[in-house]
Amino acid sequence: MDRIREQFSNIYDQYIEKIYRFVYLKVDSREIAEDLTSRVFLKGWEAYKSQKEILNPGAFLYRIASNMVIDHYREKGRTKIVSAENIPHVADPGADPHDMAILSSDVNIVKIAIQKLKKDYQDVIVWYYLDEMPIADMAKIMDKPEGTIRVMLHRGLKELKGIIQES
Amino acid sequence: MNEKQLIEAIRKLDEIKPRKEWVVFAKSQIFEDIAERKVLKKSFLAEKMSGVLDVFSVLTHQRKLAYAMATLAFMIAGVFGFAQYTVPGDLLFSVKRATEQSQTVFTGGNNLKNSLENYDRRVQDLVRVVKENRESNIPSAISEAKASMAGAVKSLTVAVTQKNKNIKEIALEIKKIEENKKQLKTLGIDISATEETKELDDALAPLVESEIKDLEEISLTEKQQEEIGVIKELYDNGKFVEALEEILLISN
Repeated sequence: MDRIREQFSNIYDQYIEKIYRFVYLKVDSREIAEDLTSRVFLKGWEAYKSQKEILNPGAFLYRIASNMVIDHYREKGRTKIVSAENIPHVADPGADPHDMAILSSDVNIVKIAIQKLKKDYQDVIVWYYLDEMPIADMAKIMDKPEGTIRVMLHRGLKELKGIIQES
Repeated sequence: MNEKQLIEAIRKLDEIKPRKEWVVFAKSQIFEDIAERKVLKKSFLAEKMSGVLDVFSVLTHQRKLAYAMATLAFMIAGVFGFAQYTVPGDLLFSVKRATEQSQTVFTGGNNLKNSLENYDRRVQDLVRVVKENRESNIPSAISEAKASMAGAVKSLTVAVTQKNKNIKEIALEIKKIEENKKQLKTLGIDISATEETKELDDALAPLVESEIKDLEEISLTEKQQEEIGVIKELYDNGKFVEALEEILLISN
């Protein structure tokens, strides 16, 4: 059990910032991001210690995080889910003043624009440009072909540019 | 903004990072169960060792026994002295806790006062442990703080039910509990004793209701009448602690 604990402890250290940032960019509230992120890792730990075979812990955690955010919005009644591909996430009103202090205005604009993207475009953009995740890994998480992921990246970036220009 | 600038701006979002204290705390919460079992095992071994030492001292000669007892007395004094600086999760913390409890018995004092002081001490231990980043101590410190909070709330409930204290004293004690909770929240720690808090709420409800009735019977200024409205709303929403605080303000 100690060995498993140590392994998961390393996984935690490796992914905590990435998962937190992934969740935060979707919920735009530090408190909610902290709450959801700790629940992600709690759930991950429960699965890990039950000695389920988890080949890619990062992908596993991202999947939990993604579902956790969907459940969060479903409970809050902010989104009407028709299909998993078309979930627009509306961030909590008001940017975190802490971020406004540390992020430059351009970056803040990009952050707000990302929150207006479709869920799938948000995911691929964050994973590819922020977390430097390989396309193959993204394809496994989203259960889509790699070609589709590349197209989503291109379209996501284009839509993001459009949102920024409109604002 | 062209594509290159956009990608650069996206990459700069990696400046968004979680708070370090929260990262440590969240990790400790995940592994809390396992750490608690280790702490229990350690205190069990410490108890066994002290039993072995007792048996050994009886078997020696009188002079040797006297020297041994004197040495033991110094060691114990040293241990007690050192134990005062321990926090939950440390091996000698049980010594510190035993010392605190025995001081309570000798100095007297009522149960509520002792419970609140104990809660205060455990909260300060937890604050210290988090600030000093003592990862392995955090789960035990949280457990101790939770248990002491539950004890304090329980004592307060008894005091309210038995009407041992007046409303002002009750409100002040509740305020102390809430202030400690707030202090922990600033560090990203949320300890709640849900069951005990519910019992306290159940005890406070008739008290608040009775106070509202008393206030309505006396003549009040317009402003005070408005405040009664606020208090009634808090009461209707089950926020008895806040209602009590407002009653205290209106009564002063």
